[in-house]
This record gives sequence, C-alpha cells and structure tokens, in this order.
Amino acid sequence: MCMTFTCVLSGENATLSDMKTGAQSIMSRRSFDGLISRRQRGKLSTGARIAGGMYSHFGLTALLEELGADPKDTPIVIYNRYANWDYVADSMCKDQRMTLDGVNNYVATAWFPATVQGYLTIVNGNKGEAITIASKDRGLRAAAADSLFKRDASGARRGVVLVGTFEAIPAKIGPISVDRALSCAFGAFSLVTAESTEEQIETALDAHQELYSHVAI
Amino acid sequence: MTKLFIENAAALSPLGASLDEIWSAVMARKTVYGKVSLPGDRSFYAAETRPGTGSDISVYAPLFNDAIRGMVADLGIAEPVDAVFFATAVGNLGQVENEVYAGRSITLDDLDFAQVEAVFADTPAWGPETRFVSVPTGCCAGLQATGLAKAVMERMGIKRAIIMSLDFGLTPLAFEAFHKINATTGYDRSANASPSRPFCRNRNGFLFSDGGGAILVSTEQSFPDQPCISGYGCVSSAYHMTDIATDGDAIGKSIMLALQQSGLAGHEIGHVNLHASGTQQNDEAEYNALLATLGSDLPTITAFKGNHGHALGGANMIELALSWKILREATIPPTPEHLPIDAYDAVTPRSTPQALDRLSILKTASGFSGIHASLIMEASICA
Repeated sequence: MCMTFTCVLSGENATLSDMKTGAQSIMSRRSFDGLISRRQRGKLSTGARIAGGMYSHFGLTALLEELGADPKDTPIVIYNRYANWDYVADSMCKDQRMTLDGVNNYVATAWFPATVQGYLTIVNGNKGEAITIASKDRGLRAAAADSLFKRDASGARRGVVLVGTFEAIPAKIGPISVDRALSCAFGAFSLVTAESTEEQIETALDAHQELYSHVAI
Repeated sequence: MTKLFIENAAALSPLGASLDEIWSAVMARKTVYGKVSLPGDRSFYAAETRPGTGSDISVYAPLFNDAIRGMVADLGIAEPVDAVFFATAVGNLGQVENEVYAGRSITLDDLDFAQVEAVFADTPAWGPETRFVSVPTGCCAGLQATGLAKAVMERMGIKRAIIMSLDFGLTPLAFEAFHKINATTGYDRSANASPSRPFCRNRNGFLFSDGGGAILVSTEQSFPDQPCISGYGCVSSAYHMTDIATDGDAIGKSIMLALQQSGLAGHEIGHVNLHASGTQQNDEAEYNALLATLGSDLPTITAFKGNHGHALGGANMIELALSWKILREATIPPTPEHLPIDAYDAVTPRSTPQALDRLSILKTASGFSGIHASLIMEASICA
C-alpha cells in the first residue's frame, strides 16, 4: 500500500491533497509557512519548507507509527531533479562581486540538493538511511525505493520507506530567464509500506513525476 | 547480498590527469595547493585539476563535461554499459554560474541533474538500453551511488555499470558559500605548506579542490581475487546540517552495517581510507568511530585529501579508485610529506610505502545533511 500526499504553492495559497481519499484543502501561504518554526524559515529553501509543512500538516509521524514504522528510523528517498535555485535566484546577478556580496551563511546548505533529506532527518530525529536521486528512469526510481527497505533475516521488507519530491523552480536566476520555465513550487510525500507491489510503488512515484508538469511552459 | 566486481578504475585530480599519475604522486608523498582570486579582493586556497582555471569561470565551466568524457575513455569501455550511476555535489554549477555572469540564457536542462545523462550519451559507454541515475547528495554521493548500484544491479538485471562521482565546484558561489560557514581554511599569504592537514593537530578546515573518479563494475567475477565491493552501510546522523557529532556514533553505525553486509569482523580490516576532510570535527568523529568499531589496535590509514584537497562528491570515487590501486598493488602509500599526522597516538605517519597484509579496505565518507556511508572493498575472499 502507498499513501501519497501532494502540495502545490500558487499565488498566496497552498493546495494540499490526499491522493487516496481525494480530499483537498487550501490554506494561505502564511498559514502553511507557520507549520515550521520561524527560526528555521530563513535558512531553508522553498522545497525544504514545503517538506516540513507537509510533514506537519499530514501528521506523518503518527501515520508512520500507525503503519508500524519507527519515525526515528525510517529510510527516506528524495526524488528531486533540481538544486534549490530559488534560494539564490534573487541575489545572483551579472556582476560577480555583487553576487558574492549577497552570499549568506546558509547558501552552502540551502542551495544544495540534499538539503531536503537533511532537514527531514534532523527536524524529526530520523537516523534512517536517506538518499536523493535524480532520474528519468521509472524502473530505477522504483528499485531505489525498494532497496532502502529494512529487511528481516529472510530478506523480506520491513517497515515503511518515506518517498518525497520537493521542488521550487524560479523562472529567472538573477536577470537571466530560464528558458521555458514557469516559476513554480510543489511537493509530494508517499509512504510506501513493505506490502506494496512494484506496480503500486511505480504508480505512487508517477504521482510525484506528474507534478513536474508545473515546471515548463 | 550482491558483490560488485571492479573491472577498471579511473580518476583525475589536482595531482594528475589519470589514476596512474595520481597514484605515482601519492607514492611520492606529493601535495598540491594554490590560490584562486575573485572579484572584491577575495582570495581562497584551492587545488585545481587545471591550474589557473578557478579564477576565470568562463574557462572553468566546460571542465565538468570534459572530465566525464575523459574518465569514460580512461575506463577503456568498448561497448555500452547497462547503467551509469553518477554522483555529484554541485553538478554543472559552474556552467550555470558562467551563463548568469555572461548574461546568456539558461535552459531547464542546464539545471537538471538527471540531464547529465546527455553527456554520457555522447560516449562509447552509452547504448539504447543504458540506464542512468544521478545521486546529488554531496560529499557522500559517490559512496551512496555505489551502495545504490550494489543494491539494485542484480535484481534489475544490470550486469555492467559505471559508477562515477565528479565535481568541478571551484566556482565563485561555492568558494564564498563555504568560506561563509568556515568550512574551508582561510587564505594566508604567508603560509608555506598545504592547508589540507587531516589528522594533524593544527588542521583547520578543508582545502577546496576538484576532480573525480570512476569504477567499472560487474555483478559477475572475471578472475580469482578480483577486487570487489562486498559491504555497504549508510545512516543519517539527525544531528546538524554541517556539524558532525564528535563521538563518531553515526559513522560507527555505518561502519558496522558495512561490516555486517560483508561478513567481515572489525579485526579483519587490513586498511582504512577515511573521508578525513581535515576539519577538527570530522577527523575526531572518524577516529572515535574507528576505535569503537575496529578496536584500539587500528590498521593503517590513508587520508588522500591531505595530498590534493577535497573535491566534494568527486572525492569519494577518487579515493575509491586509489583504494582499488592499494588492493591491486598490495601496497599502502606513505603519508604526504610535511604533514606531521600527530593528532592521535594510534594514527601515525609513514615515510615509505608499506605492504598490505590483509586485502580488505574500509572506506568512509560523510556529507552535508548529516549523511554517513561506509563501504568494504576486498580482494581475496570475494568468490
């Protein structure tokens, strides 16, 4: 079984959906941002903030426990294809010196693609294995999720693998347009249980990939 | 668990344009470092694979793709592989920065880590059935890509694959960003020795460098005693985005997982190649992890960042390729000249090469986001 939740930021709203029940809710960006601590916000990319907000909104700690998983030891796979360019897009410009003057103490971690997995493990005290993967290969994506399951002595899967996709693509980096890109921000979480079939895993991951339709014109 | 048999390896680093050149330089105890100057009177230490390029992003930007093509050629691949597992920290950041500074347009493909497959598609390694995955998890990415390959190759029917990690990250944005968090050693014009000083008391951050490495692996053994990757373990520290808890607990757990998978006990490890970035915290954490997992009588240790700095994700596979050389030659290189290696009693300098008695190597890596991975490579008991 896979449970999938999505979030799309647009204008002043965040649209949150439970793919299994079809339930959808819309909250203001201000309320959504309030789901993670104020102290964290300035340090994090939009993608990491979406991940934190969704984790809180959908109560993933409780859901993992209900599914028999240990939220402090749950493997995470993040399927992201882009670095967090939103964090530096406004401060970059054609002048190298001005760009460098605008680099703050968090650029090294906020731009970096594995920020999301790091943020999720740190904020939730999760010591499970975590990996970030960029691939167009449907089978490889599913195999990667399968490979992260904990196994019993017979090799059978145990627990849950938490799968996520969190992107924020700017339409411009500094004054330079990103050709055909739409400014967008979205995220998805799937809880993939040990009983999930390969087809169910691929279907869940497809829901993540469908969100990339927001990226290009 | 599947073992990955290593058919060949390649690398490039500031010490050399090929694995053999780097190996010779390491055996000669060489170190390399220089200076990069950027606008705003900024100066940084750097070790550059192409000296002099780090100060000019327009010259530096193409090196990333060139290096991919070069390493595929060095692996001597005559026919397409089944898959490419590619690892990096910053990918083609240099190309994107160059376009911004030059005022030229950027495409979505430029920003897409999955699109690195297009560079491989222009090489003999690529065929219509070749699969591609990119692992952009930073300074642990190479080991994570190897762990992923080990986990999925057999079950997906992937027999032969390239595992490569590469970073040409000496870009203005990266220099300034690492400098801002004191990860790199600050430039000192009066210094007369390499600022990369892993396992030395006066270590003070990493020496930023570039380069990468690659291994060609198969799930099938080609000859007896062929070096193979037999164990892998990875955990998150859940501690801090950049800091490492110096008790080494998380690193120790990744080592134990790798040992468990390989079937080896700690005392059966013949050599350790460490991440050893040269920060105070990293080296302390790794030392404590080794004591906890291997015992107080530690095997010999190498820390190649003392020779040529820290190429971010690229460093993993440079070090894995050099570890493969250690197994093949059954020889442990000496420690870099001028480095006292005096931080811990159980880790000592070597002025000459030493024979490797037990053909089993533990390799560690750690990265931003609190990720720690360990890997076991061995030669004599892989069959």
